[in-house]
Amino acid sequence: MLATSVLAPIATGILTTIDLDDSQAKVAALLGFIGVAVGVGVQQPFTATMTVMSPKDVSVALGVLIFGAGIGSSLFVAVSATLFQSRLAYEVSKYAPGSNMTALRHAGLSDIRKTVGSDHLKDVLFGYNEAVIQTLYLPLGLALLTIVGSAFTEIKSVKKKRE
Amino acid sequence: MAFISRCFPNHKRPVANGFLGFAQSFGLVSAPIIGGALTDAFTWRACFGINVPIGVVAIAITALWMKDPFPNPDLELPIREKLKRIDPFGTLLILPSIVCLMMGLQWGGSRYGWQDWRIILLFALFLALVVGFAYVQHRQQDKAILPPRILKNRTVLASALFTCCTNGLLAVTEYYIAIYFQGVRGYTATRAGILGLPMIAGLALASIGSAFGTTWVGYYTRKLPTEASADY
Repeated sequence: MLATSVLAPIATGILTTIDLDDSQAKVAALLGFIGVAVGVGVQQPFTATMTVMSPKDVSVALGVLIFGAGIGSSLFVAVSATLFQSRLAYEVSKYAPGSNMTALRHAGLSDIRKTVGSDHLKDVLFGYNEAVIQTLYLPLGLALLTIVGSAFTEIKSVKKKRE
Repeated sequence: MAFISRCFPNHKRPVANGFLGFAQSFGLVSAPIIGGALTDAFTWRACFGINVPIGVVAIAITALWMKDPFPNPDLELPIREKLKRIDPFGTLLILPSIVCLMMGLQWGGSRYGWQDWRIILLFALFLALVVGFAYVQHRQQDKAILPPRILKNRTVLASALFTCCTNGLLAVTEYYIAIYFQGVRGYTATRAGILGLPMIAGLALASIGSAFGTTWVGYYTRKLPTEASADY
Protein backbone atom coordinates (compact mmCIF):
# COMPACT_ATOMS: atom_id res chain seq x y z
CA MET A 1 0.00 0.00 0.00
CA LEU A 2 2.84 2.38 0.81
CA ALA A 3 4.48 1.56 -2.51
CA THR A 4 1.27 2.56 -4.28
CA SER A 5 1.08 5.80 -2.32
CA VAL A 6 4.60 6.63 -3.46
CA LEU A 7 4.45 5.42 -7.07
CA ALA A 8 0.91 6.35 -8.05
CA PRO A 9 1.26 10.15 -7.55
CA ILE A 10 4.43 10.04 -9.69
CA ALA A 11 2.72 8.05 -12.44
CA THR A 12 -0.49 10.10 -12.49
CA GLY A 13 1.57 13.28 -12.21
CA ILE A 14 3.55 12.48 -15.36
CA LEU A 15 0.33 11.58 -17.15
CA THR A 16 -0.90 15.17 -16.75
CA THR A 17 1.89 16.29 -19.08
CA ILE A 18 0.48 14.56 -22.19
CA ASP A 19 -0.20 16.80 -25.17
CA LEU A 20 -1.34 16.71 -28.77
CA ASP A 21 1.88 15.42 -30.28
CA ASP A 22 3.10 12.82 -27.79
CA SER A 23 3.95 9.42 -29.21
CA GLN A 24 1.53 6.58 -28.62
CA ALA A 25 4.29 4.59 -26.99
CA LYS A 26 4.83 7.27 -24.33
CA VAL A 27 1.17 7.42 -23.37
CA ALA A 28 0.83 3.62 -23.41
CA ALA A 29 3.97 3.24 -21.25
CA LEU A 30 2.64 5.81 -18.78
CA LEU A 31 -0.64 3.95 -18.54
CA GLY A 32 1.29 0.75 -17.88
CA PHE A 33 3.23 2.55 -15.15
CA ILE A 34 0.00 3.68 -13.50
CA GLY A 35 -1.30 0.12 -13.71
CA VAL A 36 1.80 -1.24 -11.99
CA ALA A 37 1.81 1.54 -9.38
CA VAL A 38 -1.77 0.87 -8.39
CA GLY A 39 -1.57 -2.89 -8.87
CA VAL A 40 1.19 -3.23 -6.29
CA GLY A 41 -1.21 -2.11 -3.57
CA VAL A 42 -4.62 -2.89 -4.90
CA GLN A 43 -5.13 -6.27 -3.20
CA GLN A 44 -3.43 -5.34 0.03
CA PRO A 45 -6.29 -3.60 1.84
CA PHE A 46 -8.21 -6.85 1.43
CA THR A 47 -5.32 -8.90 2.77
CA ALA A 48 -4.94 -6.46 5.65
CA THR A 49 -8.63 -6.65 6.52
CA MET A 50 -8.60 -10.44 6.38
CA THR A 51 -5.60 -10.51 8.69
CA VAL A 52 -6.98 -8.06 11.23
CA MET A 53 -10.65 -9.02 11.48
CA SER A 54 -12.05 -12.12 13.15
CA PRO A 55 -13.53 -14.75 10.80
CA LYS A 56 -17.06 -13.78 11.91
CA ASP A 57 -16.64 -10.14 10.90
CA VAL A 58 -14.55 -10.59 7.79
CA SER A 59 -17.38 -10.77 5.27
CA VAL A 60 -19.05 -7.57 6.51
CA ALA A 61 -15.69 -5.80 6.71
CA LEU A 62 -14.90 -6.83 3.14
CA GLY A 63 -18.35 -5.58 2.20
CA VAL A 64 -17.36 -2.17 3.58
CA LEU A 65 -14.23 -2.26 1.41
CA ILE A 66 -16.14 -3.22 -1.72
CA PHE A 67 -18.66 -0.49 -0.94
CA GLY A 68 -15.75 1.96 -0.72
CA ALA A 69 -14.42 0.70 -4.03
CA GLY A 70 -17.77 1.09 -5.78
CA ILE A 71 -18.33 4.55 -4.32
CA GLY A 72 -14.81 5.48 -5.41
CA SER A 73 -15.42 4.69 -9.07
CA SER A 74 -18.95 6.06 -9.40
CA LEU A 75 -18.49 9.14 -7.24
CA PHE A 76 -15.30 10.32 -8.87
CA VAL A 77 -16.47 9.63 -12.40
CA ALA A 78 -19.45 11.89 -11.61
CA VAL A 79 -17.13 14.52 -10.13
CA SER A 80 -14.77 14.31 -13.07
CA ALA A 81 -17.62 14.67 -15.57
CA THR A 82 -18.65 17.96 -13.96
CA LEU A 83 -15.04 19.08 -13.84
CA PHE A 84 -14.42 18.19 -17.47
CA GLN A 85 -17.56 19.89 -18.76
CA SER A 86 -16.77 23.19 -17.08
CA ARG A 87 -13.08 23.07 -18.01
CA LEU A 88 -13.94 22.20 -21.60
CA ALA A 89 -16.18 25.23 -21.98
CA TYR A 90 -13.55 27.47 -20.41
CA GLU A 91 -10.48 26.16 -22.24
CA VAL A 92 -12.01 25.88 -25.70
CA SER A 93 -13.40 29.40 -25.56
CA LYS A 94 -9.98 30.56 -24.38
CA TYR A 95 -7.98 28.96 -27.19
CA ALA A 96 -10.61 29.08 -29.92
CA PRO A 97 -12.89 32.02 -29.17
CA GLY A 98 -16.21 32.01 -30.98
CA SER A 99 -16.56 28.21 -31.04
CA ASN A 100 -20.08 26.92 -30.78
CA MET A 101 -19.89 25.07 -27.48
CA THR A 102 -23.36 23.53 -27.66
CA ALA A 103 -22.61 22.04 -31.08
CA LEU A 104 -19.27 20.77 -29.80
CA ARG A 105 -20.82 19.16 -26.76
CA HIS A 106 -23.46 17.41 -28.80
CA ALA A 107 -21.08 16.36 -31.54
CA GLY A 108 -19.64 13.46 -29.53
CA LEU A 109 -16.05 12.39 -29.53
CA SER A 110 -15.64 11.01 -33.02
CA ASP A 111 -17.42 13.89 -34.77
CA ILE A 112 -15.42 16.77 -33.33
CA ARG A 113 -13.36 17.00 -36.48
CA LYS A 114 -16.44 17.21 -38.71
CA THR A 115 -18.21 19.78 -36.54
CA VAL A 116 -15.30 22.11 -36.06
CA GLY A 117 -13.85 22.24 -39.54
CA SER A 118 -10.18 22.37 -40.34
CA ASP A 119 -9.47 26.10 -39.96
CA HIS A 120 -9.39 26.26 -36.18
CA LEU A 121 -9.44 22.55 -35.38
CA LYS A 122 -5.96 22.76 -33.85
CA ASP A 123 -7.06 25.43 -31.36
CA VAL A 124 -10.18 23.56 -30.35
CA LEU A 125 -8.20 20.36 -29.86
CA PHE A 126 -5.65 22.27 -27.81
CA GLY A 127 -8.43 23.44 -25.51
CA TYR A 128 -9.82 19.90 -25.42
CA ASN A 129 -6.42 18.56 -24.42
CA GLU A 130 -6.11 21.18 -21.67
CA ALA A 131 -9.53 20.18 -20.32
CA VAL A 132 -8.54 16.49 -20.27
CA ILE A 133 -5.28 17.31 -18.48
CA GLN A 134 -7.03 19.38 -15.86
CA THR A 135 -9.47 16.54 -15.28
CA LEU A 136 -6.50 14.20 -14.85
CA TYR A 137 -5.44 16.25 -11.82
CA LEU A 138 -8.29 14.49 -10.03
CA PRO A 139 -6.62 11.03 -10.20
CA LEU A 140 -3.41 12.74 -9.06
CA GLY A 141 -5.21 14.07 -5.99
CA LEU A 142 -6.67 10.64 -5.31
CA ALA A 143 -3.23 9.05 -5.65
CA LEU A 144 -1.92 11.47 -3.03
CA LEU A 145 -4.87 10.77 -0.76
CA THR A 146 -4.09 7.01 -0.67
CA ILE A 147 -1.30 7.83 1.79
CA VAL A 148 -3.94 8.39 4.48
CA GLY A 149 -5.24 4.86 3.94
CA SER A 150 -1.74 3.40 3.83
CA ALA A 151 -0.63 5.20 6.95
CA PHE A 152 -3.59 4.22 9.11
CA THR A 153 -3.75 0.55 8.19
CA GLU A 154 -2.54 -1.55 11.09
CA ILE A 155 0.74 -3.27 10.45
CA LYS A 156 0.40 -6.94 11.19
CA SER A 157 2.43 -9.82 9.93
CA VAL A 158 0.67 -12.35 7.78
CA LYS A 159 3.14 -14.97 8.98
CA LYS A 160 1.92 -18.45 9.62
CA LYS A 161 2.86 -18.48 13.30
CA ARG A 162 0.22 -15.89 14.14
CA GLU A 163 -2.58 -18.37 13.69
CA MET B 1 -13.41 -12.95 -1.37
CA ALA B 2 -14.99 -13.70 1.96
CA PHE B 3 -14.36 -17.28 0.96
CA ILE B 4 -10.63 -16.84 0.66
CA SER B 5 -10.36 -15.67 4.23
CA ARG B 6 -12.22 -18.75 5.40
CA CYS B 7 -10.49 -21.32 3.23
CA PHE B 8 -6.87 -20.25 3.44
CA PRO B 9 -4.60 -19.72 6.42
CA ASN B 10 -3.23 -16.19 6.85
CA HIS B 11 0.08 -16.68 5.08
CA LYS B 12 -1.48 -18.11 1.94
CA ARG B 13 -4.14 -15.44 1.59
CA PRO B 14 -2.12 -12.82 -0.28
CA VAL B 15 -1.43 -15.25 -3.13
CA ALA B 16 -5.04 -16.41 -3.19
CA ASN B 17 -6.12 -12.77 -3.35
CA GLY B 18 -3.61 -12.13 -6.07
CA PHE B 19 -5.02 -14.92 -8.20
CA LEU B 20 -8.51 -13.58 -7.63
CA GLY B 21 -7.33 -10.14 -8.74
CA PHE B 22 -5.59 -11.67 -11.72
CA ALA B 23 -8.78 -13.48 -12.70
CA GLN B 24 -10.73 -10.24 -12.36
CA SER B 25 -8.23 -8.36 -14.49
CA PHE B 26 -8.28 -11.15 -17.06
CA GLY B 27 -12.03 -10.72 -17.29
CA LEU B 28 -11.58 -6.98 -17.70
CA VAL B 29 -8.95 -7.39 -20.40
CA SER B 30 -10.90 -9.93 -22.39
CA ALA B 31 -14.20 -8.06 -22.06
CA PRO B 32 -13.56 -5.30 -24.65
CA ILE B 33 -12.22 -7.84 -27.13
CA ILE B 34 -15.14 -10.26 -26.74
CA GLY B 35 -17.55 -7.31 -26.59
CA GLY B 36 -16.07 -5.80 -29.72
CA ALA B 37 -16.29 -9.10 -31.60
CA LEU B 38 -19.90 -9.59 -30.49
CA THR B 39 -20.81 -6.07 -31.51
CA ASP B 40 -19.33 -6.65 -34.95
CA ALA B 41 -20.88 -10.10 -35.40
CA PHE B 42 -24.39 -9.44 -34.03
CA THR B 43 -25.49 -6.19 -32.39
CA TRP B 44 -24.30 -4.41 -29.27
CA ARG B 45 -27.24 -5.99 -27.46
CA ALA B 46 -25.45 -9.34 -27.66
CA CYS B 47 -22.98 -8.00 -25.08
CA PHE B 48 -25.71 -8.11 -22.45
CA GLY B 49 -26.99 -11.48 -23.64
CA ILE B 50 -23.65 -13.20 -23.11
CA ASN B 51 -23.85 -12.45 -19.38
CA VAL B 52 -26.72 -14.90 -18.96
CA PRO B 53 -24.89 -18.18 -19.78
CA ILE B 54 -21.77 -16.96 -17.95
CA GLY B 55 -23.85 -16.25 -14.86
CA VAL B 56 -25.49 -19.68 -15.03
CA VAL B 57 -22.10 -21.40 -15.31
CA ALA B 58 -20.75 -19.37 -12.36
CA ILE B 59 -23.70 -20.32 -10.17
CA ALA B 60 -23.33 -23.99 -11.15
CA ILE B 61 -19.61 -24.00 -10.31
CA THR B 62 -20.28 -22.34 -6.95
CA ALA B 63 -23.02 -24.79 -6.06
CA LEU B 64 -21.04 -27.88 -7.06
CA TRP B 65 -17.48 -27.23 -5.95
CA MET B 66 -17.43 -24.59 -3.24
CA LYS B 67 -17.40 -25.99 0.26
CA ASP B 68 -17.63 -23.67 3.23
CA PRO B 69 -15.41 -24.99 6.03
CA PHE B 70 -17.16 -22.83 8.64
CA PRO B 71 -20.92 -22.84 8.00
CA ASN B 72 -22.49 -19.51 8.89
CA PRO B 73 -24.55 -19.95 12.08
CA ASP B 74 -27.04 -17.37 10.78
CA LEU B 75 -28.14 -19.83 8.07
CA GLU B 76 -30.19 -21.71 10.68
CA LEU B 77 -32.22 -18.63 11.62
CA PRO B 78 -35.93 -18.60 10.73
CA ILE B 79 -36.82 -16.67 7.58
CA ARG B 80 -38.32 -13.76 9.52
CA GLU B 81 -35.07 -13.18 11.39
CA LYS B 82 -33.14 -13.40 8.16
CA LEU B 83 -35.30 -10.72 6.58
CA LYS B 84 -34.59 -8.49 9.55
CA ARG B 85 -30.89 -9.02 8.99
CA ILE B 86 -31.17 -7.36 5.60
CA ASP B 87 -31.88 -4.19 7.59
CA PRO B 88 -34.64 -2.69 5.44
CA PHE B 89 -34.54 0.72 7.16
CA GLY B 90 -30.82 1.10 6.76
CA THR B 91 -30.98 0.12 3.10
CA LEU B 92 -33.94 2.41 2.50
CA LEU B 93 -31.94 5.33 3.85
CA ILE B 94 -28.53 4.70 2.35
CA LEU B 95 -29.56 3.97 -1.25
CA PRO B 96 -31.47 7.23 -1.92
CA SER B 97 -28.81 9.21 -0.06
CA ILE B 98 -26.18 7.98 -2.51
CA VAL B 99 -28.45 8.70 -5.47
CA CYS B 100 -28.89 12.27 -4.16
CA LEU B 101 -25.15 12.73 -3.80
CA MET B 102 -24.45 11.41 -7.31
CA MET B 103 -27.14 13.54 -8.93
CA GLY B 104 -25.97 16.60 -7.06
CA LEU B 105 -22.40 16.11 -8.20
CA GLN B 106 -23.42 15.26 -11.74
CA TRP B 107 -25.70 18.26 -12.21
CA GLY B 108 -23.87 20.76 -10.04
CA GLY B 109 -21.79 23.18 -12.07
CA SER B 110 -22.83 21.74 -15.41
CA ARG B 111 -26.60 21.53 -15.90
CA TYR B 112 -27.43 23.80 -12.97
CA GLY B 113 -25.20 26.20 -11.07
CA TRP B 114 -23.92 25.24 -7.63
CA GLN B 115 -26.31 27.75 -6.05
CA ASP B 116 -29.35 26.33 -7.82
CA TRP B 117 -32.08 25.22 -5.39
CA ARG B 118 -32.15 21.77 -6.95
CA ILE B 119 -28.49 21.14 -6.17
CA ILE B 120 -28.77 22.51 -2.64
CA LEU B 121 -31.86 20.38 -2.05
CA LEU B 122 -30.04 17.25 -3.28
CA PHE B 123 -27.09 17.82 -0.98
CA ALA B 124 -29.37 18.61 1.95
CA LEU B 125 -31.32 15.39 1.32
CA PHE B 126 -28.06 13.47 1.11
CA LEU B 127 -26.92 14.81 4.47
CA ALA B 128 -30.27 14.17 6.14
CA LEU B 129 -30.43 10.59 4.83
CA VAL B 130 -26.86 9.83 5.86
CA VAL B 131 -27.48 11.13 9.37
CA GLY B 132 -30.66 9.01 9.51
CA PHE B 133 -28.69 6.00 8.31
CA ALA B 134 -26.00 6.53 10.93
CA TYR B 135 -28.68 6.76 13.63
CA VAL B 136 -30.38 3.54 12.50
CA GLN B 137 -27.03 1.74 12.40
CA HIS B 138 -26.19 2.99 15.87
CA ARG B 139 -29.56 1.85 17.25
CA GLN B 140 -29.34 -1.63 15.74
CA GLN B 141 -25.67 -2.23 16.55
CA ASP B 142 -24.85 -5.79 15.50
CA LYS B 143 -28.02 -6.30 13.52
CA ALA B 144 -27.34 -3.27 11.32
CA ILE B 145 -26.28 -3.53 7.68
CA LEU B 146 -23.03 -1.84 8.70
CA PRO B 147 -22.39 -2.72 12.34
CA PRO B 148 -20.60 0.24 13.98
CA ARG B 149 -18.24 -2.24 15.64
CA ILE B 150 -16.74 -3.00 12.24
CA LEU B 151 -16.70 0.58 11.00
CA LYS B 152 -14.77 1.64 14.08
CA ASN B 153 -11.92 -0.66 13.14
CA ARG B 154 -9.03 1.48 11.99
CA THR B 155 -7.79 -0.93 9.35
CA VAL B 156 -11.22 -1.36 7.79
CA LEU B 157 -11.72 2.40 7.50
CA ALA B 158 -8.24 3.03 6.18
CA SER B 159 -8.48 0.16 3.72
CA ALA B 160 -11.89 1.32 2.50
CA LEU B 161 -10.50 4.82 1.94
CA PHE B 162 -7.53 3.35 0.10
CA THR B 163 -9.65 1.22 -2.24
CA CYS B 164 -12.00 4.18 -2.73
CA CYS B 165 -9.07 6.30 -3.91
CA THR B 166 -7.42 3.67 -6.10
CA ASN B 167 -10.70 2.74 -7.76
CA GLY B 168 -11.62 6.35 -8.36
CA LEU B 169 -8.15 6.94 -9.77
CA LEU B 170 -8.38 3.99 -12.17
CA ALA B 171 -11.93 4.75 -13.29
CA VAL B 172 -11.30 8.44 -13.97
CA THR B 173 -7.97 7.80 -15.71
CA GLU B 174 -9.48 5.10 -17.93
CA TYR B 175 -12.41 7.35 -18.81
CA TYR B 176 -10.43 10.46 -19.72
CA ILE B 177 -7.62 8.63 -21.47
CA ALA B 178 -10.32 7.20 -23.75
CA ILE B 179 -11.56 10.76 -24.32
CA TYR B 180 -8.00 11.89 -24.97
CA PHE B 181 -7.38 9.14 -27.53
CA GLN B 182 -10.70 9.53 -29.29
CA GLY B 183 -11.28 13.25 -28.94
CA VAL B 184 -7.87 14.85 -28.97
CA ARG B 185 -6.05 12.27 -31.08
CA GLY B 186 -9.02 11.24 -33.21
CA TYR B 187 -8.49 7.47 -32.90
CA THR B 188 -11.28 4.94 -33.33
CA ALA B 189 -12.94 3.37 -30.28
CA THR B 190 -11.19 0.05 -30.89
CA ARG B 191 -7.76 1.63 -31.13
CA ALA B 192 -8.38 3.65 -27.96
CA GLY B 193 -9.41 0.43 -26.21
CA ILE B 194 -6.24 -1.37 -27.25
CA LEU B 195 -4.05 1.56 -26.18
CA GLY B 196 -5.74 1.47 -22.77
CA LEU B 197 -4.73 -2.17 -22.25
CA PRO B 198 -1.24 -1.52 -20.76
CA MET B 199 -2.87 -0.06 -17.66
CA ILE B 200 -4.95 -3.16 -17.03
CA ALA B 201 -2.06 -5.48 -17.87
CA GLY B 202 0.23 -3.59 -15.47
CA LEU B 203 -2.45 -3.76 -12.83
CA ALA B 204 -2.85 -7.52 -13.19
CA LEU B 205 0.87 -8.31 -13.23
CA ALA B 206 1.76 -6.02 -10.33
CA SER B 207 -1.10 -7.29 -8.21
CA ILE B 208 -0.05 -10.92 -8.58
CA GLY B 209 3.61 -9.98 -8.15
CA SER B 210 2.95 -8.10 -4.93
CA ALA B 211 0.81 -10.99 -3.72
CA PHE B 212 3.73 -13.39 -3.93
CA GLY B 213 5.94 -10.67 -2.45
CA THR B 214 3.69 -10.28 0.58
CA THR B 215 3.66 -13.98 1.25
CA TRP B 216 7.38 -14.28 0.74
CA VAL B 217 8.28 -11.29 2.91
CA GLY B 218 5.75 -12.09 5.59
CA TYR B 219 7.06 -15.62 5.81
CA TYR B 220 10.81 -15.36 5.55
CA THR B 221 11.94 -12.15 7.20
CA ARG B 222 12.02 -13.43 10.73
CA LYS B 223 14.25 -10.71 12.12
CA LEU B 224 11.66 -8.01 11.55
CA PRO B 225 8.37 -9.69 12.36
CA THR B 226 6.29 -6.51 12.38
CA GLU B 227 8.04 -4.41 9.78
CA ALA B 228 8.27 -7.37 7.42
CA SER B 229 4.80 -6.87 6.05
CA ALA B 230 4.59 -3.13 6.57
CA ASP B 231 3.87 -2.88 2.90
CA TYR B 232 1.04 -5.35 2.67
